[in-house]
Amino acid sequence: MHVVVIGADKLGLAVARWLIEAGHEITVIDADRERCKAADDAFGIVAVEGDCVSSTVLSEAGADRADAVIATGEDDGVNLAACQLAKHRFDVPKSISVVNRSDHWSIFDSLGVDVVVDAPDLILHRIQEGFVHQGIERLKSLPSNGADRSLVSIKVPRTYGAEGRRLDTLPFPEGTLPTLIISGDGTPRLPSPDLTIRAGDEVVAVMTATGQDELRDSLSSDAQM
Amino acid sequence: MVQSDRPILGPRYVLIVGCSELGASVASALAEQGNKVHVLDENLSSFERIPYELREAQRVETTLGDGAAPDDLMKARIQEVDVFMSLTNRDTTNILAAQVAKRGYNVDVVVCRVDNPDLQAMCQETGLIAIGATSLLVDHAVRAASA
Repeated sequence: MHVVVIGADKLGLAVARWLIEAGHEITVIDADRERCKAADDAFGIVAVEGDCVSSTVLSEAGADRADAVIATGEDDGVNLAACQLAKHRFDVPKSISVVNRSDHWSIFDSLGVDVVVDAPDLILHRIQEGFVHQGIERLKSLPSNGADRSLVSIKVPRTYGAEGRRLDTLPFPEGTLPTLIISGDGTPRLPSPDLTIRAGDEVVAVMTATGQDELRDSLSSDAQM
Repeated sequence: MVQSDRPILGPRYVLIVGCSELGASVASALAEQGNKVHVLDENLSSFERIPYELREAQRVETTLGDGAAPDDLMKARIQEVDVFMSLTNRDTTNILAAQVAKRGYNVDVVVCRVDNPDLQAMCQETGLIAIGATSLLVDHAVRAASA
């Protein structure tokens, strides 16, 4: 595929590197000469120096034969206009953009940008997870009907010991749906009420955000006992 | 073309993003006509482009902020706005602010300054009233040359 990457700062270069390693042909556009030079030095001649929202520059970058455009810049205005030009003037089939403010997500989405990546939200979530991890890791968010559900991995604490407890006695908040149990030795098992859960096992479950907070609280008070 | 529940001749609440030469001039002219005008800009000193009397009499209100940031737009009471105009010197900033007003707050009349002709044409297609110095000047120049 031919992909036009908007922006040659750290994120743009990381995206470019990944695309090249995956065997795609890329062109990077950036208005900054130094950044373009850095891209050329890293990947061979791939950079077009110029205004990302100029049709002439996009054309020079091969937008008319591109399969996708990926906007990675720090200016949401530039990202949006570049995606729109690529789509409307050059018929690029797929547009992907980062937004640097979460409240711009819906604007980009409603204007037809195919994939909108909310960078601050994504980073915040990872920080929150690192900060309040306590044995629960979010694997994937599963929003539906306004409920903030996620697929999570719960590490069963040491307090459960080697003898363990039955699954149906675990302090799961209401609405928790255990889907898979992975034993300490890596054996996967399907959940059943009488299954014994031991320290070091991993429970993969669907949970609400409030449920995760409740479970964190009860696991940490367990750990103190 | 302009549709609103309010009488067309009554004073309107106009929010202008960007206190550029253009933004300040449009703000002053609309205030002189009796409209309620509010200007949002990231740079405090740019408000000096608006005559002191207009600011002093609150005929032009000013708020420091980013025209594409909903929390700053709320400080300028975007929910009450009849007409929104983004008139900074950057096309892309103007387009984004205009789309936030149009799609985020359903403002009836949204005008943005877009000097790049390609972007201007694209904006018209997405429901914005896009005014561009380039196309205006080209029109005038062509007319002058063929007169």
